[in-house]
Amino acid sequence: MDFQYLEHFKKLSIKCPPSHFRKMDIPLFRWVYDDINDERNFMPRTFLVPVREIEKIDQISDPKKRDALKCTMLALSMFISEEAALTRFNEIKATMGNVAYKRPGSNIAFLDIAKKDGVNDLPNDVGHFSHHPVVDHHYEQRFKIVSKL
Amino acid sequence: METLDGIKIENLGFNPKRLGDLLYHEGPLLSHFINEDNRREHYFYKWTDSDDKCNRWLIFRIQEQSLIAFFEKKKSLLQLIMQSPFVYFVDLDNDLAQKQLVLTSPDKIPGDYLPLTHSFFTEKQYENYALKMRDDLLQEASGPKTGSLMSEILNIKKEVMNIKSALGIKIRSSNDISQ
Repeated sequence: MDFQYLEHFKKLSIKCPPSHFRKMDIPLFRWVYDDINDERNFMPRTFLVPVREIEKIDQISDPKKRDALKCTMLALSMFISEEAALTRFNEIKATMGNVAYKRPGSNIAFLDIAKKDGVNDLPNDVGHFSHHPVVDHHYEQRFKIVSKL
Repeated sequence: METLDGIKIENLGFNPKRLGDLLYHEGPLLSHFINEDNRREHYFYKWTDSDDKCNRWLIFRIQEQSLIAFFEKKKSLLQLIMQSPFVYFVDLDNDLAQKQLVLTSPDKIPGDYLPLTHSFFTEKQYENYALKMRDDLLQEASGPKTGSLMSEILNIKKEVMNIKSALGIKIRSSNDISQ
C-alpha cells in the first residue's frame, strides 16, 4: 500500500503501521475545524506546530517505545460513529473546559472509506481508532461536515 | 492566548518528573508529574491553550488525600484546581523550551481554562495509567499507615511487657523487649 507518510515510516526501527492494522470498509468520523480545507484537519499531530507534548520524544531512551510513539503520531484519530465522536468530545470538554473546541475544531465530519484508503486498528471502548491514510487521499474534498460539537 | 494575571517567575518550585498521562487524545491533555526530590508530591499538568508558537499548561499540586477523593469521584478536577493554594502556567514552544512561567491563584484562572463542574473521574474516559494510579493509591491508603503502625508496635511492646510481668520475668525497661 502506498502510504502518505511512507518516507517517515521507513526511518523508524519498528514496523509502521503495526501489523495488526487492517484494511477495512468502515465509516470514519473525525473532529474538524469549521473550514474543511483547514490544513490542520487531516494533518497528523507530528506535523502540527507547536507540538502538544511536555517531554521531547527523542529523549525517550528505548528506541522501540520512541518509534512506536512516532508511528502513532503519524496516524489520524477517527471514531466509528457520530455518537462516539460526540460522546468522546463531551468527555474531554468536561475535563479540559471550553478550550477543548480550540484544538480539534468544533465539527464532526464523515467519510465512508474503502479498503483502498488506508489501514486502521480496531476501535477501542469509546469507539476511537487510528487511521494511516494512503497518498492522495484528498480527505478535505471527500469528508463532509455532518454536525456541530 | 489569554493574558494571565500573576507573577512571572523563572523556575518551578519543584523538580518535575513525568510519570504518565491520565487523559490523551492526539497527545497528552492531562499528565501526572511528581517532585523528583519528594516523590509524594503530586502535580497535574493540564493543557489549557495554544497559539501558533506555544502550548500553555496549567500546573497544580494535589495532596494525596485529594487525589484519592478524585479517584473515588468525591471531588472533581475543578475542585482540585480551585483548592490549590496557587497554580503555575507554563508556555512551551515547539522545541518545548519554556517561554513564560507565571504563578497565580486559582481564582485568577481564565474561565475557559477551567474544567466543567462535572469534571469527575470516569474509568471509561481516562487512560490505563490513571486506572493503575488509582488502584495503587487506594491500595496504599487501605494498608497500615506509618502513624498507626508505630502505635501498633508500641501496643505489642506493652502486651509483651504485661505477659512477662504476669510470668514473673523481671523487666528493667521496655527496651529489654526489643533485645
